Amino acid sequence: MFYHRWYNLSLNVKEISIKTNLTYKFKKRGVTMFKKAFPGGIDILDYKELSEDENIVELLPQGEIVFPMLQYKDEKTVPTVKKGDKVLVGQIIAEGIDPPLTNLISSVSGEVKAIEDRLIEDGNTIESVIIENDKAYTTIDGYGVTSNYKNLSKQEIRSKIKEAGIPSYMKLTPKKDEDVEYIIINGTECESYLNNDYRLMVEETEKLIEGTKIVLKLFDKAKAIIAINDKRTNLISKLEGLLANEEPIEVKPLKGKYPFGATRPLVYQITGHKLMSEMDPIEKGCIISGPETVVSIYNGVSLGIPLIEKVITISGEGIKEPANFKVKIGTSFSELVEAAGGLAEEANKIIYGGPMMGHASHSVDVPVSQESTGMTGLQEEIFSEGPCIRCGKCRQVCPVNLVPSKLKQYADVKDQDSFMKYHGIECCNCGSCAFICPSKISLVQSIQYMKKERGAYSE
Amino acid sequence: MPIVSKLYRVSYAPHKTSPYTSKNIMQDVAIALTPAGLFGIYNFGLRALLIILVSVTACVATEYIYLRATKKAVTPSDYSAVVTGMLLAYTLPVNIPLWIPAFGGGFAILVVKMLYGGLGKNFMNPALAARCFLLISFPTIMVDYGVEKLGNGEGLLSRLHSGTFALDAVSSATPLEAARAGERFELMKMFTGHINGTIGEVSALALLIGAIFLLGRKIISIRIPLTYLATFSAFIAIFGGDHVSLNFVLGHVLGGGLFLAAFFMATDYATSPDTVMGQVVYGVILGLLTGVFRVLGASTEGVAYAIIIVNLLTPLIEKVTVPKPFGKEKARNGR
Repeated sequence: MFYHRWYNLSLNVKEISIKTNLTYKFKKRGVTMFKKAFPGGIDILDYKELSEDENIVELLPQGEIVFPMLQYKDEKTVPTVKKGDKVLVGQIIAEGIDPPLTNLISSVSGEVKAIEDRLIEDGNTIESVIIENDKAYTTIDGYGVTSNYKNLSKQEIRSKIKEAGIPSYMKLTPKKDEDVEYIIINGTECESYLNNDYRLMVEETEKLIEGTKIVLKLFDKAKAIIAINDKRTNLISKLEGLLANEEPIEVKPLKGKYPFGATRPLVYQITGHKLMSEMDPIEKGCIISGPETVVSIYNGVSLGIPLIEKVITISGEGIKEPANFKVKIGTSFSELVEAAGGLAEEANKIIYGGPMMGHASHSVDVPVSQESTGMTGLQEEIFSEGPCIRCGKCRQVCPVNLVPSKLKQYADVKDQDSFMKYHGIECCNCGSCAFICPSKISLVQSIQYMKKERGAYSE
Repeated sequence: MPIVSKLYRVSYAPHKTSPYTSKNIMQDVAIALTPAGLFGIYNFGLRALLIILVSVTACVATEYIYLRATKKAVTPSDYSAVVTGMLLAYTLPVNIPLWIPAFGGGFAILVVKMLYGGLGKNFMNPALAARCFLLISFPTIMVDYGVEKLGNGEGLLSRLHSGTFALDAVSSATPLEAARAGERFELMKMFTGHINGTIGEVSALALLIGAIFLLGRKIISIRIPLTYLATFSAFIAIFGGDHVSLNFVLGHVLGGGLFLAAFFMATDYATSPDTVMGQVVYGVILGLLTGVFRVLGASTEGVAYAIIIVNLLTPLIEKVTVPKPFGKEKARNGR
């Protein structure tokens, strides 16, 4: 019966003491430290300490490499190779045929073993290119050609980003460059257990800053803001030290209340603009990028290395030795889990992503894709679903000011009109309502179902 | 080669939930009600304890029998019947016959709660609806606040048995009845509870302790009690008649079960609106209606009727006060 709100005052012995933490926050934010950052939100234990101090370990793949034909925002991707073709590191093996036209790039050299359906993170099976790794890692011509971004034009930078297979190419090409006011580097990582962005920022801070400068070159009027959880005091001081003379990049520590890293609360906290669900952040002059994207932009533009590696966190109480790995895209998660000690006896759930918004799956034989962040092995406490007692807690924690209990009521009877009248389409899928519900009702599932019926894009 | 050989649970996000369940909420409400009950036993003697136990047992038993008979999942372990039983007992005078709480408990659970769908679906506060039912059906018994006066020479056992009030009181009229006769309110006594009344409503202090516990635990929000009490005080101050004074207003606030109702019954989850603006509207209407009943009504029982009437308005209030989602309200700085 303990009240989890008190976590934020509990001792996290690996960090500096509570007193300096509070003083730092107060110095930075003054009285607004006590102000609500955004409506709703929940204080959760984020268990990041399980893997936040583990250095990134490079893992080379042992088995076959699988590339699912899946891209950002469901664009259609087709393979450009066929069975039996020999591929090299850096070679394009699939391309998007609808905009945003991103290419999939091979991370190993070898032979295309097959093109068949394979399981991916969210439980679907999708056509995939399967490559047999010859462990030689021979690179293609033109791989690794360095250049100085200061000597490149905007067009050249953009084409280098596209060639590197980075999915943000479309995001970084708005209609008018002058419209962009803020480049927000989303280093908040509000999901529990995951530390991949954090470790990347700690270990490759210089690359992060250089990558930000490259992006800033594309937009003359923009300011870059690195948003970060304010409990990461060491990283914040390090970044501020390195950025002492760099205008216009700024570090902004944010109060760590879930879901402070979601698009709409994030834009609101940094710029004060309020976005609706169908609006793209660019409409208010913001571009949001993750630290991984920015580092790969640096790699792609300055070092000529395409996006072929990813940092993955394997964590959770169900994993014997939680760790962070850097792996080639296409490696199977089974190898990563084995390197992390394997799944513990009590683990009864495998989640790709974090526990609040991740996909549960039955198998670890899933390849690492460009969007993977990590895997969590959980020992889930199973509650039985009770009736809605109309306590209103879901309404209190919703970051978008909705009334989830009512929305579920209408979703269950497929009443689309009332669902729309209660603005159900605005739901951002954060899961706060289902987390806090005392009757453990599956609110997110019903609301998601209704949103899909209406044809809304689900984040 | 798969490295796992057992079955994993696959369900939809989120995969972690807070360990606080509705059982915990009800347990906390029951804990918050205990100080008032303990004071009632101290004030009125062991019979008060008996009434509380009979009421709780009747409620739990009715729920259990109903769920068994209709072959549904049994949930009396979620303490909501216990809370209803306690609340009902707190609204009864101490010298009523024992079949009244038993009957009232059965009515509250069976008719008001179970027959309309069970937990969360009652359209009126069950304890108050039962009280009104008993008031209408057995009026002479229910307004009998008579307490047998005992002499000063009685020993400890008698004190335990009959309660402090029986030994120390001068008259057995409730404060509101006395005020109608023109007397001033004895505010300090009303605050600590050495007055006559129903078992749970006498001590504003004990109720406040429980209410602060609930507010601290974030089980109830201050919105409904605050708007209720504020509107009610304003109404009494304006329309109270000739002898309006600070003593008068405070006395009306502290007496007649208003504290019990404002903190524990008006804030009942199933019967109050779930939107912010809705709760404010609800509190205001409640305050106005209770004020009207107190000033113009024949009996001193304004609160119970006011609450069950406004409970009926809750769905309408919710429909009218749908909150605007993020982004649709005017942003700050007019952007």
